Order: sequence, then structure tokens, then C-alpha cells
Amino acid sequence: MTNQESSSDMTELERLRAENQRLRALNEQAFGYIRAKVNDLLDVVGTRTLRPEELDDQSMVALDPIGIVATTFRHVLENVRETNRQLQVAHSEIQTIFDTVGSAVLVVDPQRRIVSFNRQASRLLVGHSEDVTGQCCNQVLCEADPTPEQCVFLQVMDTGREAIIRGRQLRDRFFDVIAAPHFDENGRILHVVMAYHDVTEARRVEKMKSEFVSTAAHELRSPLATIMGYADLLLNGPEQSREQTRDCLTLILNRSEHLAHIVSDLLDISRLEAGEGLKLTFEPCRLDLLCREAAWGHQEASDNHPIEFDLPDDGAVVEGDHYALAQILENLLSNAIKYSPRGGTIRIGIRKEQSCCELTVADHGLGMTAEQIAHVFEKFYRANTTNTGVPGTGLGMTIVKYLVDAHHGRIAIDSTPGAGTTVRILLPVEQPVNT
Amino acid sequence: MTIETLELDIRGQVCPSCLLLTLREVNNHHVALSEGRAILTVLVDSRDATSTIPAAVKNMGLAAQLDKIEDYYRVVIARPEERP
Repeated sequence: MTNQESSSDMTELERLRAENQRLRALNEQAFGYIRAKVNDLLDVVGTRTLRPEELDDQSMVALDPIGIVATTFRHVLENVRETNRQLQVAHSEIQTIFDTVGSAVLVVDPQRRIVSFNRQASRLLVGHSEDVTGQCCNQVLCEADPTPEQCVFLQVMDTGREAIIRGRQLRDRFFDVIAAPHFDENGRILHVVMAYHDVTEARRVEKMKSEFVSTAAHELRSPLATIMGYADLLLNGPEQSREQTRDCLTLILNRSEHLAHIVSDLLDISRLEAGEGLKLTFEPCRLDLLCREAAWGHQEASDNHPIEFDLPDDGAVVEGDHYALAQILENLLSNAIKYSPRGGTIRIGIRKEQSCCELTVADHGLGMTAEQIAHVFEKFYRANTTNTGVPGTGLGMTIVKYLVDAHHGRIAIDSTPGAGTTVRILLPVEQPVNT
Repeated sequence: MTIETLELDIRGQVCPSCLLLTLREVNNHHVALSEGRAILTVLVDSRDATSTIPAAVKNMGLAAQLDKIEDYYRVVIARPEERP
């Protein structure tokens, strides 16, 4: 080997050493980069870093942590997508329930701002369909600043527990209000959910029932007092002439019949309430004769209320239950007399059509408003409760409606306050075959 | 349906290797585990792994039940509906 050749080899060796050092540095840099990225990934999956003393570079590469975590992330992503899909379905279901539930529901934040509300809330509480999100609930719902006793929101914010207020009046309606807090992960109230259950109708029915009890008590007590008084007179009073005794017994009989009528109404309603219905026997009935019989039963009253007839000369026959039709006429006539001033004429008419008969009972009495007519067939409803002089249980028209329906008929009322009322009933001449 | 029972014994390993080895096994059998056709039992003695493994498999839509057995832990990984 010449000196020249030896010098050339040394130069090549130096170059290779330098190249080797550069490659080592690059290698370390690459492993450092990989380890740093692996550690980033491990931090994301919730564990600590891979220390070189636990796993050297070659073992780390062999383990393929990036591949493992990447595949894991793919599975996590699939799970997140599936969870999102299920959440969307659940959200859609909750939204449907939210909108279809009978109560009005409002969700407000701790500053009383409305976060969400359902359709019933728009209809019952807000009164219009505009978006009230972000507005304060007390400004939207309450006419004045409510006291804590009137406000479930204030009670929930004060106690951190569910609160209930019964019979809260908002505008012209009454609500049972239930409110509950919704907490965040730190236990702070995030939202207050308030459900308003409309009890306006229930309160109205309750009031009607209450009025009915006092009315029924009065209705039962008045004839009872007459019966007891005259019975006492006959038993303990001075001896009566035969004619006086007869008058007393006639009054006792009349009042007893009146009592029986009230009890009969109550039993009929009780049966209808229980869904038992009434047993009707359909046969050809002379409606015109039934009208005259009903008027004859009110002969005493008709001295004060002249009854006029507009009945067909050749009679009017419908297929119906004799007693039920008599009861319809009795109730209509009784109402017409009760709600008419002395001397007010009552007119009973029948108009025959091809397949039905129209029965009308018209008076010139107190009359009713449109709102009163809307409720007149509800049980215990009495249109003129302020007029305590008018007796009644509020069951008569309910029974009439039921009996007309049972005859496949129709009933309509025309009335003007102060001018009188006309009740029209259309009854089919023949009942359907399968009746 | 028969349920395949898989076992991974990584006692002696420390986290994060425990977690990585478990995740690799879960990835290898992910479909069978997700469909309830397999249950994976991991035997581990690293205390860190008792929190990292259940948390990671939960993110993947699986459930894990942890039991202490003498001086090691048994982590049973399965579909949530068939939580052992």
C-alpha cells in the first residue's frame, strides 16, 4: 500500500464516520419524534408516557403503539358516531313527548330566561306562537312580579328542591305547577323545569258539583218540608174535613212525585256515568199525544204559562221508547216553565218531514248566552245559578241529550238572553235496523 | 350463540404497555366483542391499568368489570348488554 493509497482510505473512513454520525443523529431524532407522538397519543387515551427504561426504541417500534392507538381511535370514533345516532333518536323522542304532553312545559335558566318551551306552553301560557326564547318567564307569564308563594321558580332557586303550587292563576286559567331543578356536574342549578297542568276545567266541574250538592239538598228539602208539614197536620192537627184531607194528601202525593222525579234523574245520571246505559224499547209512538200528555202534567203551572200547540192534525208517529220520549218532553217543558216569567207563552210544535219529525219547545224566558249554550248538556251545569229562585239539579238537559242520541236524533238550541229559548229535536221516523 | 372466551395474561407488565397490549387484543377481536360473540378476560397486576383499561374500552363502546383476585386484577371486557 502506498502512502497515497493509505491517505485515501483514511479520508474515506472519516467520511463514513461523519456519515454514520449524521445517520445516528437522524435516527435519534426520528425515534425522539415517534416517542413524542406516541406519548401525545397515550396522553389522549388517558395513560402516562412510555419511558425508554421500560421500553427501548426497537421494542417500542415492534409493539407498534401508533398502530394500536390509531385502530383504537377508529373504534372510538365508530362508537361516538353510534352514540350520536342514538342520542339523536332519543332527542327526537323527547322532543315529541315534550310537544305532545298535556301540560305546558317551560325550561328556564337561573336568570329566569326561557331556554325552551313546548307547544302547550305557547297555547296556554304565552297566548301566541312567537318565539319567547331568551325572555324572562315572569315578564312573559306574570302580570305582576310574583311573590315566592306564587312562584315555583323562586322556591326551587331558594331550596334547590322540587316545588309545587296548586291552583296558580295565570290570565283566565288555573294551573297546578310543578317545578324541579336540573343540576350541572358541579351540583349547581343549570335549569329549572316547570310543568303547568291546566286544572281550569277540573275546577269548573268541581265548582259545579259543589253547587249541585247544595242545589240537590235544597231541591230535596223543599218537597220534604211540604210532605212532613202536611203529614204532621193530618196526624196531629185539628180534624180536617174530607175535602181538606184530600187536598193535603194530593199535595203530599205531588211533592212525593217531584221527589221521585229528582231521584230518578240522579239514578239515570248515575247509570250513564257507570256506562250501563238505559234500556230502551222502540215502538211506534204518537209524539203529538205525548206532547199533550206532558202539557197536561203541567196543567197547574200552565195557568201562569199558557201553552200553545202547533201539532199536525193527522198526528206524528216516530219509532221510539215511550217513556224516554215522555221524559224528554217533561224535561224540556219543565225548563221552559221554570225559566219563563209569569204569563210567558210556551209553544210546543211538531213539523213532519220525510224521514223525521222536528219537535220544538219554545219559551220567552230568560234565554242563554252562547257560552251557556255550549255547556248546557254538561251534567250539573245550570245556566242561571245566580237566580236561586229557579229550582233544578242541572241534570235535565244532560239526560235529554243522552236520550235524543239514543234515538239517533239531533238536538239544537237557539237562544237569546232576555228573549227566550227554542229547543229543536230531530227524531227519525224509523230507527236503524240494528238498533 | 356460543360465546368465545379470550384471555390475555399481562401480569408483570406496567402501564402504558398494559393498556397498549389490551387495546391491541381488543382491536383484534373488536367485531366479536361488539357483537357479544366473545368476552375478553385480562389478567393484570399494574394498579394504573385498573383505571386506564376500563376507561379506554368504555370509549370504544364496551364494558369492563374489575375484580381483585389475590395479588392481581381480573378485567372482564364484553358488550355492555352482556356485562358479566
